[in-house]
Order: sequence, then C-alpha cells, then structure tokens
Amino acid sequence: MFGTTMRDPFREMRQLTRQMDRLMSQGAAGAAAGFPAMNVYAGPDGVAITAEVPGVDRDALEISVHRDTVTLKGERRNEIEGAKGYHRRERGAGRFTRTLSLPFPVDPEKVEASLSDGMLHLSLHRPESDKPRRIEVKAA
Amino acid sequence: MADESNTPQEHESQAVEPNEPEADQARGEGQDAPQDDGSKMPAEAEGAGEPTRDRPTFRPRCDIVETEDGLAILADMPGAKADTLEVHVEKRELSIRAEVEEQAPDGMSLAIREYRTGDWERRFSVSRAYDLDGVSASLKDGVLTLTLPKVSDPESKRIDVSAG
Repeated sequence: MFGTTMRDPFREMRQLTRQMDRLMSQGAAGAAAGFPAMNVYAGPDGVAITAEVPGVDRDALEISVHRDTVTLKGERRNEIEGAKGYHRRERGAGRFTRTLSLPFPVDPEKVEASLSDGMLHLSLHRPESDKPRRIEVKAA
Repeated sequence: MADESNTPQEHESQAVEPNEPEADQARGEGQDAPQDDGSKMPAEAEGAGEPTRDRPTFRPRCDIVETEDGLAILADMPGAKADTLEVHVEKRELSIRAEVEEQAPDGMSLAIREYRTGDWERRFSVSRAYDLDGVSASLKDGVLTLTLPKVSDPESKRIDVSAG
C-alpha cells in the first residue's frame, strides 16, 4: 500500500489529531480529551475507523464528513435511576468531539457507519476521480 | 477465608471492593479519581495465572452505585458479546470476564493505533449485605450492568442488649 520509500501520509495526520484534541479539550467539559480512542486502518480505496464508545446511544452520535475531515460528536450519559451514592466512579460522561484530518478527501455520500456492542465502525471511501491510477507504459 | 468475619459496621462502609493490586491505589486510580486520559486500565493481580492467549487483558472502568434495592455495578466493556461474557460468583467474590477479538477490516493495514483490543476482566469482593444468589446481569452497547439485591434477612443481626 505505502511503500517504504514513500513518506507516511498518516504521520501528519497523527500530529494534527493531537493538536485538534488539545483545542477541543479546552472547550469541552466532562469526557476525557481523547475520547473515544480510535484506530485507523488504511487501504487502497479509503480508510476504516474503529472506536470504542461503550454506553453511547446511536441517537447520541453525530458523524460528519467534509472533504478530508471526519468529525465525530456525541454525548455519553451515565446517570443511574435511583442512585443514592457512589462507591466508585471511573466511567467518564459528558459531551465529546473528535476530528480527524485524513491525507486525502473522502466521498461524503459513501460513508458507512455501524454501531454494535459499544464499538463504532466507520468506512470511508476515496472518490473515484481522486484515486491514484496506474499508467500503462507503452512499448515503443 | 479470614476476612469473612467482618463486623456489620465494616460492611456499611465497604460494600463492594474491587480486588486490585495495591500499586493501583498508589497511582491514584482509587475512588472518585478523576477521569484520566482515557487509556485502558491494565489487568489486575499478577499471579492469577499465566495468560493462555496472546492478546492483552484489561480492567474495565466501573461505577459502583448504591440504589434503593441494593447495588449496581456498571462496567465499560466495549466489544463484549453476551455469548462470550462470563459472570462468576465464588464465595464472596464476583468476577466478570469477556473475550474480545480485534475486528480489523479485511485488506487494510493499521495506520493509527490509539487503543489496543483485549479481553476484559475484573473481580469484586462483595460484603454480606448483598445477596450474591440474586445477581442479575445485562449487557447493552458494551456496558455490563450487574444488579445485586440487598439481603432482606441478613445472617448476622445486631442483638439489642436490654439493661437488666
């Protein structure tokens, strides 16, 4: 996919993601700055993103794609009905936002998202016109 | 077990205690600890046995909440499915465990890793104030909820001593 001689296009993305998180964490209260943690997979046709979002309702998730930017917004609530007191509280709650800048634009019409067992799976595709093409070299 | 001779008063203050290595307390991951950077918590108690799998084990983040009827334990276990989730009760110990396999998309290579996938495991010591025969468990959106009813007729009762 990405040869060893090629610059890693995701290196810049990693740095940018960290900067974005820092910016976002200043405004948002509640959930941790890096929530949810994401893994990004790259392939010839686009990228796939997986994220752990336990306890986040489907209706409380908002995914948007604009050119090369993917934004994941949501809210995690963890109030318990009839709670009298907490012996231990480790699970974070509140609103969260994460933004990823991809090394290439993705087709906003072809985003697939699924949520199961607290795992979000996003599939993003490069537009056909934007994909790298192999040029045949003709013999003279 | 020697610690089963706890007095009822002690049960009041320590209803459920996760069984964890002391190093945890030193790191400040104790009660009411603020949410940290969101990274996963390492597996508990070394010496519980050699791992038989190559993937890591993590400790799920938990809320332990007292309610009208008893106690609720909520554990974040993303990726856990009902058919690979185990809830065990042995003496006064409640343990939860789920096997989670990495779901890597076909034909793609990992570009950024922010979290690792592994099994979930955690154990709790439960006081006699709660009925471990009446534990119920439900799993929804990767969150396990355990409900422990209060013991209606505790074995140990306080006997009032009347002055003669």
